[in-house]
Amino acid sequence: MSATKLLEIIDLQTQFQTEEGTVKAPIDLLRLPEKEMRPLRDKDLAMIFQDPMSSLNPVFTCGSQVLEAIQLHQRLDRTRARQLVLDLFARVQLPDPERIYAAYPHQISGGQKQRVMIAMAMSCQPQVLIADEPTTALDVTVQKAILDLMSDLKREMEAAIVFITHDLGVIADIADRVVVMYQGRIVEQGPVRDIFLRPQHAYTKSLLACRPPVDQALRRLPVVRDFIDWREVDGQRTMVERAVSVKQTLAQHQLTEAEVEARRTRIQSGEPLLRVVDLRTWFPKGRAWWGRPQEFVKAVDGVSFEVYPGETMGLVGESGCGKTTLGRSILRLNRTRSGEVWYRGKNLLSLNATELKDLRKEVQIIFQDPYSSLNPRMTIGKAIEEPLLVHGILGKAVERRERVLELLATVDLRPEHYQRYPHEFSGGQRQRICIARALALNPKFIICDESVSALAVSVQAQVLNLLLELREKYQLTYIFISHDLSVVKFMSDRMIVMNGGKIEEMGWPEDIYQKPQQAYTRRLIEAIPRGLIRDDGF
Amino acid sequence: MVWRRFRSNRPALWSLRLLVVLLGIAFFADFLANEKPLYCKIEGKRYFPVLADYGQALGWTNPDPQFLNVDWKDLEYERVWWAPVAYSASTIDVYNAPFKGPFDRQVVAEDRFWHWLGTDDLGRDVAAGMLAGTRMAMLVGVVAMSVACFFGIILGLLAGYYGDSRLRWTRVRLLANGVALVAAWFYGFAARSYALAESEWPPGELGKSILLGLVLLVVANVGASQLERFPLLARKRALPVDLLVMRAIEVLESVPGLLFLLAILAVIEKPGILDVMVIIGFLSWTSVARFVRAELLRIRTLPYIEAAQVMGFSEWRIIWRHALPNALGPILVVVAFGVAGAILAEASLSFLGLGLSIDQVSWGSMINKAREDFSAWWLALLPGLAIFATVTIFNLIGDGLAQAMDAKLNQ
Ligand SMILES: Nc1ncnc2c1ncn2[C@@H]1O[C@H](COP(=O)(O)OP(=O)(O)O)[C@@H](O)[C@H]1O
Ligand SMILES: [Mg+2]
Repeated sequence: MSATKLLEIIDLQTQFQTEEGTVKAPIDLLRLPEKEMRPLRDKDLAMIFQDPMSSLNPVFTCGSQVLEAIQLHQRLDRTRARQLVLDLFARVQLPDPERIYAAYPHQISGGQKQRVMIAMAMSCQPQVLIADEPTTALDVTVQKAILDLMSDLKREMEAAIVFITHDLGVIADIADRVVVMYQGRIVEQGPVRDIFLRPQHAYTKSLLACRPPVDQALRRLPVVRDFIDWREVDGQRTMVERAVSVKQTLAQHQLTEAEVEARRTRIQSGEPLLRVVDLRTWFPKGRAWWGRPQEFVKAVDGVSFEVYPGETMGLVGESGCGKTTLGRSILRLNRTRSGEVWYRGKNLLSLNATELKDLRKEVQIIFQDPYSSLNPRMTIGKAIEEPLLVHGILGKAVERRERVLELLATVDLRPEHYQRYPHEFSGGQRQRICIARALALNPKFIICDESVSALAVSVQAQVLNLLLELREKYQLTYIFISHDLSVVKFMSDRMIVMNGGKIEEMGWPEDIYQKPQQAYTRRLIEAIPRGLIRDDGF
Repeated sequence: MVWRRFRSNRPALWSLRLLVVLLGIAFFADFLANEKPLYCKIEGKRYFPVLADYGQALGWTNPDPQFLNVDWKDLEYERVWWAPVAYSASTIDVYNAPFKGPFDRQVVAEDRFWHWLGTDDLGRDVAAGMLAGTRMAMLVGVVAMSVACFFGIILGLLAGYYGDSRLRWTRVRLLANGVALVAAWFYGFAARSYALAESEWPPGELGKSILLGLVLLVVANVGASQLERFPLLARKRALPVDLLVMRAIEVLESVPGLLFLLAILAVIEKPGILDVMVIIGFLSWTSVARFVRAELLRIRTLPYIEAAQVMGFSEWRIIWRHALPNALGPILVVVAFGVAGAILAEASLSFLGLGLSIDQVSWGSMINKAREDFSAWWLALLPGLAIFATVTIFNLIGDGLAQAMDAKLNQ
């Protein structure tokens, strides 16, 4: 549900209870005409959006935008307003407020932009702050910092916060009370501890269960369908809650140590499928006029590792550490500076165009952003069919169509989707389409670059399960890239922690999680939202 | 989506409707203004003289000797349907020359032959001229923009998609192509300029030159493929396409367009209207190229392009099937503005008396006539208004498109 809607829906006449007190606004917002709503919306209610990139205007400096917001409802002269902005920037713990004041949005990081947005929201000292998925687009470590900041501000300013998110893990860190919504209705509400320890509604349970746990190894993730059944009763679809607890469900899917051990020995017994040797990808930074590059961004700087057939190699690290570049370099989407990538006895980096085209069938990638990984002007069917056509895999149009329909079925899409265009699908569905397209060529090896990071947790669980099923069905080998340690740990047989273009640590996921050797890894682990660590044992 | 947004923009929508009307006029101009009847019956026989003209132009029928050099208005008809304006743009009505205004006394046999919008110095009907001018303006827009799009899209595509570092050729291939291009120009055009100048760019000679150039390029590339076996020659180098194209655009744009046009027309002997159109098009490819380049810079980094690369699609396929179709929207905007510019440029040239042969009429050439007699207000006002209205229509459509698409991008 969109929070803009929420601004209109919250009925303040019933008085909005929070731990900090009651918002004194006995007005029915629903019946308030737009004209009177405006000042209220600006002053007493403030909002922070999910995507900091698009909520800041790229052509003005960050400072001037906050300044404008202040001058909109406070009579302050420029110098005093400016001082106020700098104070606010300091309060949201932006480093060097003067510099940020003069910086344009594209010159600062995502986390910093979100802090600027928070400063802007705080500038009018709102009584209610509505935050719509404010950390979804951010790294785990940055997310933690922002959550800490919001908790502090809540205490300091005595403001109520409505924090909207799809991720129950985040809620545990910040909320006092939780309202769970499902299909447009509130299904459950209560203090955060109760929700986490004694969830009543099946949907709440599924939300709690579908986030990959860090302390358990699972065969597959529980999804909403494990908790809720839809039945046809008297021609109406009704919801039937299954009487299972989160704990039971998780226990049901748990992998035994023997199973894990057996899988490991099986995988490690073969020859490596992929061997990366001392790979370096440097991007030129500041090039002299018509000359050689002066400096380099060392996005990947001397990385070596091996991946065995059937294995899933996890790759985790903060954004900007070079994960994407590493994946792209293996696929020759980047120019590499030095190093070797051996795949089945061939060095991918020194193949010529025709040899490369043959290997393209075997190595595929699934990208992060499901919205731009499909050509908007091509139907789904055509998009999945195209690789078959180009590689001349199935000669007849009928056969190709058959195959496409089969692939659609594999990823749980329906045949009638064949004729549709990408914009008619949700994020999760598009990611399935991308998976189907990648599978069209019968690849052996797939790189998943943040493939589930843009999805809501419940959808994420479904896509992760699908990837696991496909791994078994087609004997696939994955490199699974994510900034989210819990997801990588769930998916991987082994994992690599990357930092600044180098490998920080490599090993079994539970070893890295329980006995991190490096301070950097420890920091990543601490940033995992508290709601996931079930030390209460429920 | 874009269409819905465009439709909500009133001025743009009305402009589009008017444009359809203008195109209709341009298409059916021969039926709207013609000195010959649309249909007539003479001595019991039926004739369709206007349609017969089309038949002759296509070579299907032969001209009827009976009607050679006749004045159609003097014939005895049993039945006759005249076009709404019973004059062609080039019909000279000696009785009403020079410069008869719509309200002046005119010598006409019947009221239906009245020159509703007056005549010019030779006694040509202004209403017919306006209609012929519409056709000329639309033709200029279409031809000039086709030429501009051809060059603009190809060059913008190369610059935007390949940038400065993504088109990597082996040294020997770069060298061979460079040499072949220079040689093609030299042997195809420079060395043969005599032959070409003598016969005033006949299609045959020009074709020979182009063929010679192509043969040289093919030979160079085949040779290069052979020589690539030697490692020293096979070392790859990036071809800075973007840099080259952008510099070319800057050079071309730094010269004022009209001056450039005049300079080129001065070189060509007896420039026809088609020359003018092509040259206008050639001068306005730069803005198309800029837009296409900017769009491709954005599109080429999108994951669906990379996905296509990973699936082993050819560059050709990626560019034509995946990149270009998604860049076409904004090109429409440039084309709309470009047509307005081309019409204006053609009007200026015709006003200066360049490009048109004697029997051709365009809005610009009509205004030119008004200079000879300042009291002939109808000759200045009407074509002037037509130019203004048409240019405004295209600009409004361009604005509407730009807004509709921006909204889509920001969404
Ligand atoms: N095409 C490029 N040109 C210049 N720098 C780049 C390019 N791609 C990535 N980088 C830089 O390389 C570093 C690693 O980026 P990336 O691999 O995308 O990180 P991650 O995927 O871990 O978030 C970043 O500092 C980024 O700015
Ligand atoms: Mg990345």
